[in-house]
Amino acid sequence: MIKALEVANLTKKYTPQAGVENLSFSIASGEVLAYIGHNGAGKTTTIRTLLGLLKSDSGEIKYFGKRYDTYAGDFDALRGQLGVCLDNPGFYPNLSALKNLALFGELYGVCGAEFSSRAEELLKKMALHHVRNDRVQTFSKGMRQKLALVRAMLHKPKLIFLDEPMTGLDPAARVLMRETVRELAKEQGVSFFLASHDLNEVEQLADNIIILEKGRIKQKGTLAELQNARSVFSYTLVPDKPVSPEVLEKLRSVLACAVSETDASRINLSATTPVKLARVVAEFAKENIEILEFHSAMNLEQIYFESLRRE
Amino acid sequence: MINRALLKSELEELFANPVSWFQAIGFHAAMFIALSFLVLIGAGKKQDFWNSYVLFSGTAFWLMMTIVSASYIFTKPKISRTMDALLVSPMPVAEFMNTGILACALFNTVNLVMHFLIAMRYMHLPMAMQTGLALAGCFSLGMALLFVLARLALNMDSGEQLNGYIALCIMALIIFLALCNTLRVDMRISAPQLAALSVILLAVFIASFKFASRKIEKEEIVREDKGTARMSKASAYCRRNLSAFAENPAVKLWQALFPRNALRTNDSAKYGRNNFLFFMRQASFATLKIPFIYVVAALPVWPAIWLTDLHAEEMSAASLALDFAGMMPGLLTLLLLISIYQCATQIFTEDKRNNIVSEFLCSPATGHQLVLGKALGIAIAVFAVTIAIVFAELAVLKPVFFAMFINAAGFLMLARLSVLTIIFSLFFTLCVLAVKDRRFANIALLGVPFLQWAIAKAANLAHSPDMLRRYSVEYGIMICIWLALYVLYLSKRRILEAESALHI
Repeated sequence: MIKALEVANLTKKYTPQAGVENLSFSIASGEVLAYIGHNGAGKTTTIRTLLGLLKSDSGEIKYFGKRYDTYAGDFDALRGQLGVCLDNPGFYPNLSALKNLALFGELYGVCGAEFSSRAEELLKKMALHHVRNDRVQTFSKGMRQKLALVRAMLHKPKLIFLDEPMTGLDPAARVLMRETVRELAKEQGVSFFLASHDLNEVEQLADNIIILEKGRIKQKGTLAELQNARSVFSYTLVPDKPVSPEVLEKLRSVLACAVSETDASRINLSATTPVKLARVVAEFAKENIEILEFHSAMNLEQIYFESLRRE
Repeated sequence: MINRALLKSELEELFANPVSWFQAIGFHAAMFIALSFLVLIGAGKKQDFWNSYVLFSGTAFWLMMTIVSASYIFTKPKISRTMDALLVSPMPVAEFMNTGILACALFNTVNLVMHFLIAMRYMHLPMAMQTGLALAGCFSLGMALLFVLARLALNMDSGEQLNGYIALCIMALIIFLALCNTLRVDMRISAPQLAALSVILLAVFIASFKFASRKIEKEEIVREDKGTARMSKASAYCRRNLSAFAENPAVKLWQALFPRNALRTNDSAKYGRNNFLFFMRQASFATLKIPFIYVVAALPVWPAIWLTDLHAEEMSAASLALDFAGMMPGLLTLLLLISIYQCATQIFTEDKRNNIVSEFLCSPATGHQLVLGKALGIAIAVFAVTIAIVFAELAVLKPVFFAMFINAAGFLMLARLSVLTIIFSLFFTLCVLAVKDRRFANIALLGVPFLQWAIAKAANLAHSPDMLRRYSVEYGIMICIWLALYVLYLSKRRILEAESALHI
């Protein structure tokens, strides 16, 4: 199956320290790829290089199976298949939302009746229909963000780049955004490149995740793969009664892992290899302690921080 | 070559935007005051005067309009990242640039033609073949400069840098004409010379078009670290070389008077004085960074001074100087008014956009300290720049005129203007900070001259021959009006409310 985007050994350096280096990844049709990393890790640089706003130093970029020099003129022809919602999206502030959309609609070849129906549909979906004739100058940050999403989806692109799309959105708009991304990906096969700091959203949306650090890919894979690839396995237990320090010490040596009490009601276990639940339950039972809750899976936030800590 | 959809949007952004028109009207007003003086001294009857005026002042006016048009077409979209969205669309970058230049050229041309049409109607500009040639020369030179400036604008990080380059171009024109004056080169331009000049300027226009059409890189436009890298290099250099300078007693005195960290001081007794001085210092520095005031202060005076030389033979130097002295207070008042309006709206719009006003109001600073400190800072900087530029031009280009003001009446005029500057500054600071809508400041820009005229008329009713007494009545009325507004509007809560309701 043809991939929407394939990147091999992409490098873009501003200075020897700043930029991205040796990036390789791909996005399949209908896949949501999340791109996470701390500030200045190179997320926006990657997006800008992939979109041909910055010239790459080396590497190969393929869109829909065809290799492109994104900085050359012939890439302009492909741009109609790409949707873009950049960080802090800009508009002509003295024009209305509809006029701004009309401008970008024409640039992407969506005009006339097709534009009217498409804009109407998307504005209604994003709850912006009632302000369509208001000047963008009067919009809040969240409204601008939603309008930028409408702009990105207006021409029915096959691959959409989203750079911090949740910034400034209220909870309802976040849910709406999440549903829209899911619907487009699953039902229409639209691929997404999602750069975000919101790990909770990423966890819920992404099929694949890339963790970026200092311009290099630190880890990549599905959430399950990242969970299995960790170097430390942490678990949280909720016992039915307080555990004495002597019992904790005993369990530490028997289970061969670090055991600590976070507060009166929770105990943390951490080991370098997976620990079986049955064994933990049995050892606690020997001390007449019942386990009420057992949490084993690390969430993305824990994986992210552990990944950054790892050399 | 040109994208029609983008052109339509850009023209709407420029022509349907009241702020761009207010800025343009300010430039129109300054030019007309200077022009009316030239007509008053009889220069307007001569064809060669108009040739020079259309060519040189026309070009300078075109450059002033470029400040407005280029900011809406290039710098603001770049800062707001609208340009990024345009550059990732299927439109080629050259098409984007050509469309932007055409939109700027249309806005500039409409204003230029409007200026000359009004001049023809009310100042009796004689339309002849030569005027057309001069206009063609002006247009060619203006377009050539626009191509270069647009290319520069796309590479810049802020509009201020572009305005700085435009100020530089206008200064270059002034220096060129001052040089001609000093060398006694006759700049009266006859028809054959004009035709030759127009052809040369057309060639310059084409050459600059070639320069601008050179393949522009998207990376040049979107990279943000260019200016920052330059700035950090410059600041590192300054820190290295100025560390010894900081030990200077005069610098220490300055730092004591205008403390940097006033808002963070632990001594609550010092809050009042320190915060006021902090705001004053901050506003004066911010004002000095706005090249707009340098352009406005420099532009309307020099053509007036220079062109009078060409037509002075019919009039005695004494009568010319008297006419000029009569025009000066009005001209300076208008220059100060326009500059203060621009600086106040620009500074406070930026402050509000970046939530800096809210930050200040969350500190121990009061609304009074904020408004009074900022207003006084703007007033001092605008007054110093405007008066220094105008009188330096006079001293260099026309020492006879300069000498006219070295007397008690001259000082009285300056004192009157300084009070007026403070009142204007307080008024506009209040308009932008404490009134919900920036449109109020725009209306005030048009209303203040009429108000001032009405007050002056009211003061004249006293029929007092004593100038000082008349001025006292005039300022008494203005200060009362302003105080009434101040009491009505000023409070921390009011400023915050206005800020939250302000749509920038």
